[in-house]
Amino acid sequence: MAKKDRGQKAGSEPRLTEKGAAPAAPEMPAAPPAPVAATPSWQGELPLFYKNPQLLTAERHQSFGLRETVDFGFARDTNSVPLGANELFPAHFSFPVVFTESNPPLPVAVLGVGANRNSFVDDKGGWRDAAYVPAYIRRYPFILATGIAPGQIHLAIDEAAGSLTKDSGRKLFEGGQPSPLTAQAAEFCRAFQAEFDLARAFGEALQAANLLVSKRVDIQQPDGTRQTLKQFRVVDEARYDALPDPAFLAWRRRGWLGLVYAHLLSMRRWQGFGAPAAGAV
Amino acid sequence: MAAERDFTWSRPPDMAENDPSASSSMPAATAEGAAPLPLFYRRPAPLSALRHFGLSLSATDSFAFARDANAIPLNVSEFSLAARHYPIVFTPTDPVTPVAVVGIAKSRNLFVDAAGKWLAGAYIPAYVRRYPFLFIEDKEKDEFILGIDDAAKALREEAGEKDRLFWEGKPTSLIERAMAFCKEYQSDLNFTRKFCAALEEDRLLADKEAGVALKDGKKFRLTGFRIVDEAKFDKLPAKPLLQLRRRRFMHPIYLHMISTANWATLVDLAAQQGD
Repeated sequence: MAKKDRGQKAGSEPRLTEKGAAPAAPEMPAAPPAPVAATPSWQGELPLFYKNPQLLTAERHQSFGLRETVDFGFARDTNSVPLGANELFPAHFSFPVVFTESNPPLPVAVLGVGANRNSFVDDKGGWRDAAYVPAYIRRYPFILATGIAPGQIHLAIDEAAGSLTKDSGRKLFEGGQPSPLTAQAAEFCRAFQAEFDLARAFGEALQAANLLVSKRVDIQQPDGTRQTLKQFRVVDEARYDALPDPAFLAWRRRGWLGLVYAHLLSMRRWQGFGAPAAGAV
Repeated sequence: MAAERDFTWSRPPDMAENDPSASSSMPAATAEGAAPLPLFYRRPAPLSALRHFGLSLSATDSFAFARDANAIPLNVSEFSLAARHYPIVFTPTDPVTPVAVVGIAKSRNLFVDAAGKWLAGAYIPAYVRRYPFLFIEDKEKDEFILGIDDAAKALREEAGEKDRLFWEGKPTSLIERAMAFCKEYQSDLNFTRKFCAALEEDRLLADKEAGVALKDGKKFRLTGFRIVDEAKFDKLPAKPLLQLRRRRFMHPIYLHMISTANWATLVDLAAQQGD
């Protein structure tokens, strides 16, 4: 396991949630595929992309707003992001979905083959080819925080986000109350968290059933150079086929079979990965 | 508000392609009389050195012949490739056939452009790649004969050895490859038929409609095809379910269900192309 619980270090500090009960920042986001682990942007402390998350309050953020235009530039330097369970279905259309080598394994979208390169973000900060945009990225700069009061979660925002403005854009608060934008963000974060927890449970089940195998993939880049992507895991089809019937039936009840198939299907996306998808729809 | 829109088969994909003379398994909607032909094929005939000795099959990447189809038969072995772009559904015919839906309007394949090019990056079904070859079933001898559509545009009378079907009285490598392709296709088709029969046995297929929304907010309902009824599938008892698993049918069932997300892709493509 990578770095342990930031809560131990600073008990009063709010904890950013998507790590679930036993958080470990470095293992959740870009940690897995490729040598991304040392990406300086989060230093093994904060979740990927977040530099200065602060609890959202009317006092502090009264005059803040979000820019109207969406710029995914903040996600340009990562080659993978975590996915919620329900995202495996849209995600497999656009990129390979693999599992981290962390414990528990988490499903992540592979977004690039270079260590710090997301091939889906274009020069202008747009998202390429109408591909699926993972919720983890759409959520930014919002995030949930726990640990302020027992059983409570709070909405936080990354004050370092380029999309955050003062006295312009879409307001975060209106008349001292959270704006519809903020309310929507809170709901989005909650929904993502729920799916993230399901993804985590799925990862734990895959681990427990010993279905994951380490894998490396060689990818030919459009310019002819080869890149090796490693430090990730995939479901071994033979082991999955050998899953005992009672487990198979239990997985079906929990809705995990579809996740397995979506993951396996996403392995088709390695082909042509890194090359612009001509005529992609 | 949802606009109702029937999905009308441009030509009901049929299962009797291996036997152009068969009529029992033809969909009722066919308007071609007693012996309708398999989709795309107009004059299929057994290949023979006598009949086809002077003919060449020019190498072409034109799929213009498939431009008027809105659904193309698919084998189970292709589901994982097809699921990227096409809704995989089942025909309301007997027997049931899986098809890749390639268009929403009746006679318009959204994946083939005016020049006959298949949309780059999209999977081209084996049924299309096989054309103009096919297997013709000889029921008396219980065997398959390699045939070709004499009406295929790519079939030409040419001098010289290039692209010839026969050379010096013998089948060329082109025919050998076609033979191998059709053999594999036939074996995949047999598995596919078993798969469809199992879905029927377990009564998992239902006439359903797809609700699709265009990017501009317009909504359509598409009907006229069958899909696995997820509610029924969820309730399927353990015994038949595990039976499906043992027969390796779980994967294609899920791929089919996953692929239905592609209705939106089709509708967007149709909007782009001003359909």
